[in-house]
Amino acid sequence: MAASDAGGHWPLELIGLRKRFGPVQALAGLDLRVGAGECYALLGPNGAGKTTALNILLGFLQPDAGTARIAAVDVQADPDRARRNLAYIPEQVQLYPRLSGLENLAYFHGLGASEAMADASLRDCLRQAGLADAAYERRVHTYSKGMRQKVGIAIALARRAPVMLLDEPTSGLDPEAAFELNNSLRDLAARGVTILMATHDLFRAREVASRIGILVAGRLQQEVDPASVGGAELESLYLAAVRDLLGRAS
Amino acid sequence: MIARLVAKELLELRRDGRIWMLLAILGVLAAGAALSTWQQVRTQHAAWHAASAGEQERWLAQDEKHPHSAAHYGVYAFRPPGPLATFDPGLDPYLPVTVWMEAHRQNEALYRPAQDAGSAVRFGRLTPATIVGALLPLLIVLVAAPAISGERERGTLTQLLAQGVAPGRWVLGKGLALATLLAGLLLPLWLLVTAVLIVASAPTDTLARWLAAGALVALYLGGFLLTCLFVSACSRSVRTALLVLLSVWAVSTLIAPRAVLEWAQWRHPTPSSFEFRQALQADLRDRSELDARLARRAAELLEAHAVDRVEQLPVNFDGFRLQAAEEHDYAVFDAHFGRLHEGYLAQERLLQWFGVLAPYLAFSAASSGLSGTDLLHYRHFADSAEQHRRVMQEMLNEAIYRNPEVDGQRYLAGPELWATVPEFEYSAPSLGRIISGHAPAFAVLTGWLLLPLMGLLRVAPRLQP
Repeated sequence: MAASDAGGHWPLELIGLRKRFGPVQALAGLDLRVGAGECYALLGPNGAGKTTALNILLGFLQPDAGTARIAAVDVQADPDRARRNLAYIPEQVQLYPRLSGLENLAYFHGLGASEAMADASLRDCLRQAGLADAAYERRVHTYSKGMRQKVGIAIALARRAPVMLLDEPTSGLDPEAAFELNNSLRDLAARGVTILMATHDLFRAREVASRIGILVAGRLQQEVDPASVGGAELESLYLAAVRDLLGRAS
Repeated sequence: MIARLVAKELLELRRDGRIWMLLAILGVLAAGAALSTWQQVRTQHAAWHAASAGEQERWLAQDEKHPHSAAHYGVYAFRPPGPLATFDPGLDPYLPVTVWMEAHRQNEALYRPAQDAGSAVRFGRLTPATIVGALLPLLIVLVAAPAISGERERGTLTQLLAQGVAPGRWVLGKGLALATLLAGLLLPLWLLVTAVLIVASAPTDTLARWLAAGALVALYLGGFLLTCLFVSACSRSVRTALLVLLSVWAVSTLIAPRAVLEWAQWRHPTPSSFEFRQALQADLRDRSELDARLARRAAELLEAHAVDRVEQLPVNFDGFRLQAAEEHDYAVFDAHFGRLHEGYLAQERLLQWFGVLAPYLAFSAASSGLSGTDLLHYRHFADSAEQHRRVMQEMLNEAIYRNPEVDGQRYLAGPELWATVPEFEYSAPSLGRIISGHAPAFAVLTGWLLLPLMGLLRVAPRLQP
């Protein structure tokens, strides 16, 4: 399934990525390539380096070594151009509380896009994200965490970017919303969007991802094909990888 | 993009109840301050008008008398309120409004209140200028401190940057939104006053000063806004930005004016009223040079007219003596009052330059300058009155000189002589002179605008979440 373009470039590439914060080695030579239409779930315990990897891809952090590319654009060399090719859903979607969900979506999309989106299209994005119609015009300070998360998903959907980064996207979502999100991600992948998702949620990862990577101590310890393992087996593999490394470290 | 950003920022501000509350408080304070200063200036203006007109009538209505008696009878010069005193009364309420112009004396009472209080009185009253200079910056701090730091703290900045938003343009949009808010508050008021001045056929000088005051306010508040945005862009949290900016505000408007004034008075001390009078009188008492000059002139005249006594001269030597005494005293007055004024002006210049640390000092100096209510205007008025007094004394002494006693009878002048003495008419210094006199303040405020602008141009494109 994974594929590069004719020039040998991958929509999302991390090559030999290293990053240290003082005594902590957050990334220790991370290599990862995700192809068009692929949904890659990056699993790992807290402090494994998942968010650091995402922040480097977003251009918010400079790696000590290695390269990050989005749609063949070197993120460190041209972060603005790289960001134009991606959509991002953070773990905690933050919105403007005095604006409605629809106004937030219009604002975020309007600032990032070259053209404004029609009102109907914006509403369609909110609908796809699973937000109830009645909430569109309500101010966000009345929203639950899950509702805010759905607006964040709508913002990402409206980007129509070739690459999507998600940091714990199902955090705070009710099971139905999480299910809808997974469906949306599958649809996006089917349309050729490249997805990288950092998560703790083994169940959701197995459900939606086409590949799963287990990241421990800044290094990719193992890659798993979710189609070939059951839920319990994935959990065993994950725990074994984490315990093995942490055991060796101690 | 920028239009969208500005629209969203204004929408958020419009929906923020705290902003409305702040604006309401500010509006009430501004209305109260404007009404109170307007009432004060109107009263002062009416009194000035009535007194000036009555004074000329009083002078012209004198009976026949010796011109030197008329010189002692004297006239009062009345200082009109500054052209924009309603906007910034500055030192106006604390300085005397009359000068008694009489023979022999440049009346020192003219300077007493300024000697006692210096420029400190400028910071004590609530006026439209203090609202603009002290309270509006506080509003700017409260609104602009979270503008960028708040987005960083909340996490919305991360999402915006991830959306591919160009950070430089985003910061520009933030600045424009806040500038629009300020302009929305101030521009209608400024235009209204401009229209009133035009309709009321206000003097061109007053209109020019009002236009310059508009530019001054834009310069000052623009600098404050850019400073707030710069600090906000550099701060990790709203708390840090607020702490830094409230400190800047407090130092600028509360602490520095008093501290710097104390220092200025220590650095350029001026004598107390008593000391000043003592020194002046001591120098005035030294008349050895004057006596020698009078003796020389008397000898010349006696020789020229081949007479033995001054009483036999075809001119009245008293006229010459009185004028010579005046001229002797001019030099003493000029030296003493000149030193006193130089001391005040040196303090004033120091206050203006300290605007580098506290822009309110520079704003306050420039604002009272443009309003015609500062020491520079006061000195201009005092100098004009003194020049008028000297012209008046010269004319009266000249009349004495040309009219010797006839058969032991002193010359008595009448209304025809009083009418030749011009009425005292005062016009404030030109705008150009005001601006050059406050060049340090304008330079400092320009620096306060350019420095944070340069900082923002450097920081904004590299903005990090």
